[in-house]
Amino acid sequence: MGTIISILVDALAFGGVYALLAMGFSVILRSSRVAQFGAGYVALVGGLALAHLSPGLPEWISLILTLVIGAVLGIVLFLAIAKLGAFFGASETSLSIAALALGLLIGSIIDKATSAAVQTAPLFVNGYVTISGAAIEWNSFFTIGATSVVLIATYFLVGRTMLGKAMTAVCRAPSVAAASGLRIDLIVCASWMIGTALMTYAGAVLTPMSPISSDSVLALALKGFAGAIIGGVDRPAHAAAGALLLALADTLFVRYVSGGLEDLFVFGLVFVLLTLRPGGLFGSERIRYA
Amino acid sequence: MKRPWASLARGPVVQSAGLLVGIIILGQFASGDPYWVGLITTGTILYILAASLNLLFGYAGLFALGQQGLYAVGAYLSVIIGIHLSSLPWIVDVIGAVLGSGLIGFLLALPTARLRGEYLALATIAFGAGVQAVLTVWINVTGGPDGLPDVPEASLFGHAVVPGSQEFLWITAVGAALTFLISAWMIGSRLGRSLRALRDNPLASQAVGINPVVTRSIAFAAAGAMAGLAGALFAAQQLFISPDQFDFTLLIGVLVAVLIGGAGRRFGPIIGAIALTALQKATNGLGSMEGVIYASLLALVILGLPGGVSGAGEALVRRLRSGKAAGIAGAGVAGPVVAPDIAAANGTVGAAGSGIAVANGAVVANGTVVHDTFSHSSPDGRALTIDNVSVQFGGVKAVSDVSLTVRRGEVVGLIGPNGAGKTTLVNIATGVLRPSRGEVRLGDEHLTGLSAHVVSRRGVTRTFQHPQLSPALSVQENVMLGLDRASTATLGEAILHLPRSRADERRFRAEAVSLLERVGIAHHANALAGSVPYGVQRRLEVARALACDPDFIFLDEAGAGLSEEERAELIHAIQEVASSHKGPGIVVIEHNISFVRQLCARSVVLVGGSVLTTGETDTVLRDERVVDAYLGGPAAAESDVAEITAGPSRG
Repeated sequence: MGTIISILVDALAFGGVYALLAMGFSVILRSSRVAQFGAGYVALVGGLALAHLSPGLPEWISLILTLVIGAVLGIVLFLAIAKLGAFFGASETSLSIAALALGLLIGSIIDKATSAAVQTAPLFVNGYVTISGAAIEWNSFFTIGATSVVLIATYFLVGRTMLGKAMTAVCRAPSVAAASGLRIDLIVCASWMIGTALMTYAGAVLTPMSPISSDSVLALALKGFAGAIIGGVDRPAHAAAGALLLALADTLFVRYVSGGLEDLFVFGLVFVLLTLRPGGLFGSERIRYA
Repeated sequence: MKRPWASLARGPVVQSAGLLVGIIILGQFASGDPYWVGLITTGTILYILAASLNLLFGYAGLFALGQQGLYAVGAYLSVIIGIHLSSLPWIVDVIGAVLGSGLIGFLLALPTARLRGEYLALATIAFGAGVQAVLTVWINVTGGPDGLPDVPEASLFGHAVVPGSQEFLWITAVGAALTFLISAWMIGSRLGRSLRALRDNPLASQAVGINPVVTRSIAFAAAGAMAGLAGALFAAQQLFISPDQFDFTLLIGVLVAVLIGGAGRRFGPIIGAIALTALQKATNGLGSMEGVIYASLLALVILGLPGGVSGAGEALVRRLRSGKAAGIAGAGVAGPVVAPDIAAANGTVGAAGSGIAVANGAVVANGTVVHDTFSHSSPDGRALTIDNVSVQFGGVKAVSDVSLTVRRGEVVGLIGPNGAGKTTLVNIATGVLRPSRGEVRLGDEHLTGLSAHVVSRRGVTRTFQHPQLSPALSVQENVMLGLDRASTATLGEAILHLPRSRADERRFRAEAVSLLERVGIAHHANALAGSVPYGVQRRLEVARALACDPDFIFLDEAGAGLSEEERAELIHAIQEVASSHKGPGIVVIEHNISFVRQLCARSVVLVGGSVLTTGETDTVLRDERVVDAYLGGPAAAESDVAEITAGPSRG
C-alpha cells in the first residue's frame, strides 16, 4: 500500500511537470503551428528565476513571478519566431527549428551569465509524512498542488473562456476567424504567452525536486513532448493527460522492471504509440495522409 | 541529345568530380599539418551527414530528426564488424555499415510512413534517443556508456590509413563525391520527382499513382545508407566511439548545416558543412561565448534566410537575370520563374535546357515522336460502377445511397448546388474517402477500401476542385508525374541514369509537351507550376490526369476560372480525348451549364447527397426539380441563384 502511494505521488509530482510542458507545447502548436522544441530551455529560465527569487520571497509569490516572467518571454518569442519568421517567409518547419535555436541561445546565455552549472532551489516545504510505512516528502504534495492549480486554471482558460474559443477558432480555420473580426495576432500572441508561462512554471516547480541545467533540459522537454503526442497535441487537456500517463508508466517501469532501461522504455513507448495511434490516445480524429 | 556522354558530363558527374578534386586540393594546402587535414576531414564527413539529412528534410520535406541515430548505427556497425571479423578488409566494414544503416532507415520509415510534420519529428527524435539508449545498455556488444575504445584502423589494399593523413582525407573525399553523385542522380530521377511531389502535395501525388509509403521508405533507406557511410568514416577517424557522441546536439549541428546552406538544394550541404566547420573553428577559443554566437547565428540564418545561403544566391541571380531580361525585352510581363534545378536535372538526363525546346519543336512540327497516350491496352467495355455508396461526417450524411455507372468513352455530367456531395462522391470513387456503405467497382474489380494511389494505378484518376499541383516542379515535370508509372526502367536504373531510364525520360518529356499542347498550355512547359496563372494551373491538372492514361477521369470543376476562349479549347480537348480510340470515361463536375451541355450527353443531378434525377442533359436541365434546386426552390439557399446565372468558380 505504502509503495503504491509513493509511486503515485512520484508519478503525479513529475507527471505534473511533464503535463505543464505538454500543455504549453500543445497551446502554442495549435495556434501557430510551431512546435516549441526549445521548451526545455524555457523551463530552464523558470528554474533560474526560482533559484534566485525563492530565498527572499514566499514560495507562492516566486511561483507567480515565474509565470509572469514566462508570459513576458512568451511575447518576446512570439515576436522573434512567429512574427519575424513569417515576415521573412520561413516555413512552419523552419520556425520550429528556429524555436529550438532560440532555446539554445537562451541556454547558452544562461550558461555564460551564471556561475553555477546547475540551478538548485530549497524545497518548497521541508519534512515528510509516513503513510503505511512509506516516507513521502511534503514537498511532493506541494508540487502536485502547485501544478494542479495551474493545469486546471489553464484548462478552463483554454477550454471555457472566450479567449480559449478564439484560440480554437484560429487553430481550426484561421481565415474564417480573421474574417469574423478576431485579431489573429493578439490571439496567437496570447497562446505564446500562456504556453511559455506554463513551460517556465514547469521548470520552477521542478527545480527544488531535481536540479536543472542546460544539459538536462532536452531530456526533460522530450518527456513533455512525448506526453503531448501520446495524449494528442490537438487538445491541451489531452496533452496534459498523456504526460501524466507517461509519467505513471515511467515510474512503474523504473520501480518494477529496470532503471537502466528507462530511456529505452520511454522512447520505445512513444514510437509505438505514435505509429499505432498518430492522433493520440484520446484523439478521435483520424489523421489521413493528406 | 545525340551525345549522351557530353550531356552526362555537364551534370552531377563532373560536379562530384569537382567536389573530390576540391577537397583534395584543400588537403594539399594543409599538407603537413594533421590538425588542419583532420579539420577538413571532419568537414567532409559533416557534408555526407548533412547531404543525407538534406535528402529527407530538404527534398522529401520530411521533418525527420533521427539522423544522428542512423549515423551512430553506421559507426557502431563498422566497428563491430571490424572487431569480430578482423580478417576482412576495412572496406567490408564500411560497406556493412552502409547496408546496415540503410536497412535500419528503411525499417524506420515503414511504421512512420504516414506521419507528418511534428508527429514525424517526435517519432524520429524518439528513434534517435532510442538508439542512444540501446548503445548505452547493450554493454556486451556496444561497450555501454564507455563505448568502444579499440576501433580497428582504416586500411586500403593492405595499407594502414592513419586518421589525419592525406590518404584518409582522400578516402573521405571519395565518399563525399559518391554521396553527392547519388543524391543528385536520385533527385534528378523520377524518384526525386515523386519525393518532391509528395512533399508539396501528398493528395495530388496519390491521385497520379505515387505510392507514399514506398517512396518515403526508399528515401529513408538512401539517407540511412549515407548516414551510415558518414558514421563509419567518423569511427575510423576518431578511433573511439561512445553513445554520447551521437546525441541530439549533433543532430542540431547537422540541421544547422543543412539550413545555412539551403535545404533542398544540391550545393546546400556543401556550403553548410563549410560554414559550420569554419564557425566551429572560429568560436573554438571563445569558451562559453561559443554557444551564444553559435545559437544566435543559427537563429538569424533560419529566420532571416529561409532558403539558406544558396537560396539567397539563387534569388540574387534571378534578380540580376530578370533585370537583364527586362533591359533586353523592354517593359513586358515578367517571365515565368524557371525551376532552378531543372536546367541541371535536364543536363543529367540528356535533354538540356535547349533540348526541351528541341523536343517541343519536334513534337509540334513532326508529330512523330509521341505515341498515342490514349490507345489503351486494357479490355474495353469495363464500366466504373459506384453502387449505392453512403458516407457521413459526424452526424451529417454527405452522400447517401448514390449509384452511378460510367462507360468508357462516355462523358457524364455531375451537377448540383453547393454542398450536394459532388466532390465527396469523387473522393469516394478515387479512394480518398472510404464509403460507410456501398462499393465502387471497375469492371468486376472492387476498388472500395483501396488507397488513392492504388485506385489511380488501376485506372481511375481525377483533377481537384482547387488546383493541387507541385509548385516547385515545372509544368512539364508535373505532367511527367503522371507518365512516370509507364517507365520501362527499374527504379535502380532510373537513379543511376542508365540508358533505358534516359530513354524513358526523353519519351516522357516529349509526351508531356504533347499533352500540354493538347490542353493548350505547352508554352508554359518550363515554368514552375506554382508561378503560372490560375487558368493554366487548371488545365495543367487536366493534362496531368490524362498523363496517367486513365480508364476513367473525374474532372472536378476543370473549367472554373477559365476565359470563354480557354474553356472552348478545354471542351475540345476533352471531346477529343473521350472520342479517341478506346478513350476513357469522363465525369465532368461543373456549375457552368453551357459547359455541361456541350460536353455531356448524360447528366446526373445530385442534391443534398442523393441523386435527384438522371438522364439526357437537356431533359435533366429542364426538370423543374432541378431548376428549383438551383434557382431557390423551397429548400434551396438564396445564394444559389447567383450561382447558376453567373457560373461561379467554387462549389
